Amino acid sequence: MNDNNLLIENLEVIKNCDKLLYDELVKYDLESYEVENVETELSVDNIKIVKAFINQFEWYFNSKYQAKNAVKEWADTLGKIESTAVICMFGMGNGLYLKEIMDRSYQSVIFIIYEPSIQIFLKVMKEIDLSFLDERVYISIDGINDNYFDAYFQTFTTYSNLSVCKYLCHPNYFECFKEAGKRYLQKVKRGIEVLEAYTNSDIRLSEAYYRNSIYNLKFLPDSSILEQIQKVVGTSIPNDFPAIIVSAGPSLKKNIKELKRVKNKAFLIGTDTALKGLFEESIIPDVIVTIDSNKNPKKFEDPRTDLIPMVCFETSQNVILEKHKGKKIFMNDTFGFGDEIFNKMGFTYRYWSGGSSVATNAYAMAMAMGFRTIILVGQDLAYTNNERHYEKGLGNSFYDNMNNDSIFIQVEDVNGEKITTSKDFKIYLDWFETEISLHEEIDTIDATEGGAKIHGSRILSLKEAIDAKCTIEFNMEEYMKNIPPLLNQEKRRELSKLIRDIPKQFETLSEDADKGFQLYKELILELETEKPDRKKLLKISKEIGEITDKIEITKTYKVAQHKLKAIEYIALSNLGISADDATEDALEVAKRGIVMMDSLRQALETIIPQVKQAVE
Amino acid sequence: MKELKVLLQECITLTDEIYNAALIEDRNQIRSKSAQLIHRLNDSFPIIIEAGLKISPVILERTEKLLGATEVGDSIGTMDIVRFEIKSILEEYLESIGETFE
Repeated sequence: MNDNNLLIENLEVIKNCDKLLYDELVKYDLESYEVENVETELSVDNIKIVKAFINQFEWYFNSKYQAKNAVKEWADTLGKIESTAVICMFGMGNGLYLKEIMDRSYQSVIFIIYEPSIQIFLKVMKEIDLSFLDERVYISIDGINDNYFDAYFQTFTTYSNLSVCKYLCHPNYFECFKEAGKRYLQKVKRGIEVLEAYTNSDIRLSEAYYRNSIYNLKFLPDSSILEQIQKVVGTSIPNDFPAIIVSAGPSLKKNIKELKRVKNKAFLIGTDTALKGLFEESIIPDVIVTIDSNKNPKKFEDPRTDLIPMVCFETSQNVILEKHKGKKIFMNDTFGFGDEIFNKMGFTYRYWSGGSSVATNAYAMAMAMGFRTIILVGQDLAYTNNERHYEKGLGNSFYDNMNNDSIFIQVEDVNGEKITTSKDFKIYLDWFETEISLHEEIDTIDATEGGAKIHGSRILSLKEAIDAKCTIEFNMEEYMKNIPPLLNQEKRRELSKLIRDIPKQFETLSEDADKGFQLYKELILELETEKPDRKKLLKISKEIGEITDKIEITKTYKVAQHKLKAIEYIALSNLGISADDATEDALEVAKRGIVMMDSLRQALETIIPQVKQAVE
Repeated sequence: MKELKVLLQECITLTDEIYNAALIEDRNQIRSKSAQLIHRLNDSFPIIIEAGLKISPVILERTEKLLGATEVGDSIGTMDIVRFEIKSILEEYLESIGETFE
């Protein structure tokens, strides 16, 4: 087979296992690409091996004598590869080392390869059969798609598999490509740091989710829900009336003053971080959206926020909800008790797939209300002029504090140039683009005048958008303030009773956790006997299964689970390391089970008095 | 002859140790074991001549190659040189004095 045939076949392999890499590779004229300083030859055991001339030295990446055997011996030094492992490897060479570890691994193992040499990669593509590659392999090539490495790393590495991941280097690669090797190590190091930051943030947020969902319970009886204003555009609100979502991107300073003329000509939605800027210009939004469970209450210091209707989650920052005296409209994020209680009372209270930022949730709300024109302002989703927010130094996330390029990516900006964005912004950008493509009936206008291009939206200046779309008069402020509470007096009493019953549900959960704890104890005792009684083991396991199922379906457990996140982190941190025999494995699982049950019992000792206090 | 046998066996053991160190790219071990190997080889050359055996220029050349490979950090090259280029000659010497590696 000639070079080009193999190249075409290998490209097809890449296309099937890593479409993103394929899309990058086909941008090059690979067939006529002249590979320099890299050659192949046959080893004594008849394997096509690669050699490269780098820094006046001839480097081989496989044994010239027994290429196959050397690879096997190398793989023997790696130890056991667990089923949940992610294998990161610097260099692919001729693929022989990669193939060996793939053959030795479970189908669930993921391989992330960082290849520093495009020359070697192309030589291999042209001359070596890569049909062994499959969808488990993600290749990132220096200078082609090396920015994907971080995304792959963060996608597949979690705190539960971190301890079983392996970070390898193809023999001779590190010496040969020292600078790229340092970059690879830096990327891995940073990837682990980001993972830890996310994990810590998850643990931190979990406590906040728990706290807020408990202490916000009291607002439910007198509040409204998003379902009450679903599809109101075209009936209660004029058909072509637009919504404007104001976010706090750095471009907001360019056009914020334009918003002064939209009062009663658009539904002005202020996201929490944009409030300060709006108030400084004396612009009062018709509604505020706040979803963050740890949002800084200082954003709500201005007394003007107190009476503006607020759209929030049950897990939104309780301190903000306490201070706010106006109408509250809840959106179901499924974490709180409303999800169960309202539905039990016969109301539809559904989960709205609103992405994960306040702006995406504001957009989901506008869609739910039926707005056909949604104008985005301050929605940069990128670091316009190296700033993240409209107000300088405001709300810096950990991204801002990390001096690295590994978590930043380049995307197209509104002018067709490149702009730097972060992974979290990219997630929001993708969310917008997906929703826009799914709802072609909505005219989404990006009037940010800067930032990342939101594909599918129309790009206009805010002035143009307002001139074209804000032509109808309607008092949205009045409309929002007049939304009635969901419940009448009688239903309110019913809801209050259901809320007062919640502590009892937690007490039942505590009893079940205790039962589970005792069962795990029995299981461990039996497993530790010289000859465990199989029948008894099965009986205990069955009972554990039943009690676990009973616990896991309850809302109380889901809420308590947030408080358990830190313990779960510890219990899961070694998950994936399997013992050498089945009894040891079962013992390990039982020991973790007992830790979780005991942690749940202990957590409930704190939770129950707090819940009682919250619902009084 | 016994002294030569011990020296040659020590050299063969060192080639295996260098190979294993190169397999996991343990540069410190590669360097120190290679230095030991070269030292032992130098010790063995006068005894080889004394025994009436011929020192092949190839082994001198390969020893130099090993030095070059360890210097740049070429672990694959190091593995190939010690196992397939030096060890085989050392085994031939052992055979020629009527011994085998124990």
